[in-house]
Amino acid sequence: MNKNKIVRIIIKLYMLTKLEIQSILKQSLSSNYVDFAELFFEDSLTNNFKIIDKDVVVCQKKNVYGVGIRLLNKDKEFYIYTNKVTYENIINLIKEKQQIFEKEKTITPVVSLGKIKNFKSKVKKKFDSLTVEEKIKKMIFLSQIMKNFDKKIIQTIVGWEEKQQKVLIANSKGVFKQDLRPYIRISLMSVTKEGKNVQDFGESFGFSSGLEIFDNINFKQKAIDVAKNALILLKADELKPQKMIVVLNNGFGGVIFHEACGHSLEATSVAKGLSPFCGKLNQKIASDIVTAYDDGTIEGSWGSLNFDDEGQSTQKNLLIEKGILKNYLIDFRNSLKMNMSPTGSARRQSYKYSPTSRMNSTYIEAGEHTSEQIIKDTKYGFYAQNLGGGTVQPSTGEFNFMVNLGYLIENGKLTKPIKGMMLIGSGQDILLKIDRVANDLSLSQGYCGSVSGYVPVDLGQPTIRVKEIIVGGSKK
Amino acid sequence: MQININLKNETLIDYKKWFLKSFEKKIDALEILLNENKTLNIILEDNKINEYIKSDLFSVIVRGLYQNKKTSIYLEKINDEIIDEVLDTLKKQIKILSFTEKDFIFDGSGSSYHTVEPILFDFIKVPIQKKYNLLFEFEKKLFEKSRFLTKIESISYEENFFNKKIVNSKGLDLEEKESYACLSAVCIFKKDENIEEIVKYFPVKKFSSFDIDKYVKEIISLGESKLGALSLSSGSYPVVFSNEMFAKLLNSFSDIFSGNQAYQKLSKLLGKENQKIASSKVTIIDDPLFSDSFFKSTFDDEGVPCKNKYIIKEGIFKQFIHNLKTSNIFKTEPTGNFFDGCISMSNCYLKKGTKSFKEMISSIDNGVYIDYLIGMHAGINSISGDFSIQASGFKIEKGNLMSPFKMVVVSGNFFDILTNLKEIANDFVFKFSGFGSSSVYVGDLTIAGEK
Repeated sequence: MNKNKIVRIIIKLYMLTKLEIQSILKQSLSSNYVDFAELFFEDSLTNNFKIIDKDVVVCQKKNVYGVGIRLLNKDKEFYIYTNKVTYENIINLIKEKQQIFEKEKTITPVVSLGKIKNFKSKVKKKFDSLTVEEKIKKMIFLSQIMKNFDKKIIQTIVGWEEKQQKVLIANSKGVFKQDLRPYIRISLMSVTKEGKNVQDFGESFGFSSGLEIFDNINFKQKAIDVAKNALILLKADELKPQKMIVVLNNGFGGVIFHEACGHSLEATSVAKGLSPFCGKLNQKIASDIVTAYDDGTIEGSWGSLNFDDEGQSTQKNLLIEKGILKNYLIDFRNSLKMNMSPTGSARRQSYKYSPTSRMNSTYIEAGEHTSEQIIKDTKYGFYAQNLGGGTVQPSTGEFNFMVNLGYLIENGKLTKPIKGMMLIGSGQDILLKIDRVANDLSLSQGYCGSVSGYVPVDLGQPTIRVKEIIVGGSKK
Repeated sequence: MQININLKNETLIDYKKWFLKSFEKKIDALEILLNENKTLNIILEDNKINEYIKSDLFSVIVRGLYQNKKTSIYLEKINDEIIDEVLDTLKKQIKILSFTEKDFIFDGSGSSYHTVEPILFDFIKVPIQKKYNLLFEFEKKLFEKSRFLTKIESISYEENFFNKKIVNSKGLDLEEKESYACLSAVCIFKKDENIEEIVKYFPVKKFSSFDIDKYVKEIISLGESKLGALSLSSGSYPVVFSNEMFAKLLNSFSDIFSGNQAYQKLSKLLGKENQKIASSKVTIIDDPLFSDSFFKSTFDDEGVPCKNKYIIKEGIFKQFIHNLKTSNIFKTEPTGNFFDGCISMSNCYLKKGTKSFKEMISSIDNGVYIDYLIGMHAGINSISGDFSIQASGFKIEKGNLMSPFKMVVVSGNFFDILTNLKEIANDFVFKFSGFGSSSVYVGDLTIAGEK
């Protein structure tokens, strides 16, 4: 093969050549300031479409491109990110490492980069297997399904976001991998009005896969469900604020575990001693019927990755087994502080962030009951059917999450629909108060925000029951 | 075609080429936003400088207007070789858009822009050791001044420089620069089993403006006053939001004033111009050059001059805020409110009242003063105006602030608050976020707590 042709192809794929990358890693570790160096190259393209009613109102493209350079001396970190990706610029930038590091006595060798590891795409239908016009047609179809469902539906919005994130990671330990991560997310929203009462309901569905999602999911039914729920909200009541038994729906009900427990198990907090679960390995932190995982390997799921954002293979991490804490989620830098192995959980929104431990697909494992049984067994409580986002403060364990639509449970039956309220609790308490876990595990998708930016995550669980949570109602 | 444009070359992009190519491709107008951003972030943990983060970014947004429709492409990989690809893609994208309302690219004619002399302190010139010493001093003084401060999660120093430039094929050429630095601390206070986390940010425009003693005092007094906080019994209470929290609510609900949201039937204020929508005590202003604001804006991201305007004047709703497209739909003058890809306020505030905070709460026998809200991203609905948010603060008993509380949910409706609020105090504060307010006694709201 023509040598010049090889060089050109290499430059196109890697932004820099392998030799240049190797040289940067070597120079990073030379003069003994640094014992680990990593380069995270990213070239992502996002296409965004939005339909309001029948109109295409947004058709935009976004290209995120650049490199994040990370140097460590034990757990001290030097991070630089730029989109001015040239060999000379990077060499110049890493000279600043002397601002933070002191010279060490020992020299750390750089492992040579071998052959780059590529990953085979598992996408069955690529994003360009449909033309833009065909995608718009699908979106308008779903929008009109909702709009025509009822006269009280005054507005409908359908969003389509498709992203291809190309990443290349090279580090001084010899990691040299690249991957193309596909993401597709469809969101549906209906707005209803009756007199002065205006309500809205939305849902979104995301996957790290291709357009085969349209074969696997009945989006027409999803659109009808969204329209139905938006109408139910017009008739929904408010609840008096109180502490009560809460049954949480499967799927996005998993936001309770994500906030109450997930974040507090990330080394991001644990390594600093700022989590209620510090020092609690092999101790009981949840009720006996709770077994929970964080899994980065579920094929095609929104939170999955072939390797994490430090190049470590993802894995299925057992977090809690029958109520006993088994592990934390740990990235490389925090693994040095905690003296534990990394769990393939290092993530970042883009090259503009240094990676830290985050969740992938977090869920409580299916139990034995059925959701119908759980509701039947509840004399008085609240059924949280559709949840919104939440927040947690790991240092105190205090968390919250929003319920957009729920139902009052009276004598084992779902009665009045109830709208929009926030539920709060503390992670240390709530996990011990889970007293029923159903067999209908399902995953839902969202974006999780933390110190290393927003990352796509799955939240999941079967239907569960919590003995008591504070429920914010607006009825006086 | 004669083109009178003041063309300049930037390091990575040659506008002349881009504009000429766009004319060749029959794109009616082309606009390029160039953003340069440099940052430095230093983090101290456990008495060590533990993280040093630096960035150097240059990004471009290319906008095209074709047959009265406009869209954009955001790029971080920029060079003149991609002109054809980008312009062809842009045109294809525009053709897909199907709304009927006209859009525009601004030529700036007949416009006058305010002149503002921003304080452009060069933080890079401050020696790094001085920045390190600042962090060490901050940490040392915090620990010295409180026996209940158990841990400092982190203390960080951040400096930020950005340069925004807008040029277009109609002759617009505008530029603005800003710089600032910020100290922040995340402090954990503990007494017996009670833990409180306090997070505070202190932005400055000049390095010499950092006032460690003042920041230490503020953090310690807040952290210690919050210890021992318990939840409340559920019920309905007279509620006062602190100045900072009401500014936060105003920020979160500001979408209700967006011309685009209204047009898309996503704001209850559609058709309510010049109607009474709030108590006559309420005046809300959007003033891009507000004296107390940290950043002053002279033009928005469409190059339109920012305007000082009443949003609500003594309870009467005066106007929406707009981009070029929605100002045309509403047949009104453009307001210069397009930032970061959406319609938003420049510097927005609730005009202060006349009573002091003490006077305002003197009539409250058993109420709550909320000075901390968490979960705004999930608990706010700007279409219905409903909110349900986790809160903490201090009890109000017989007109005085008493013991702290936390772990409650406050629920209500923002439109109802605007109409029924009882009083606005005079303890005005304007935040870094670009929103300002005084403390507000909103009336009775439901609180969910321990029982």
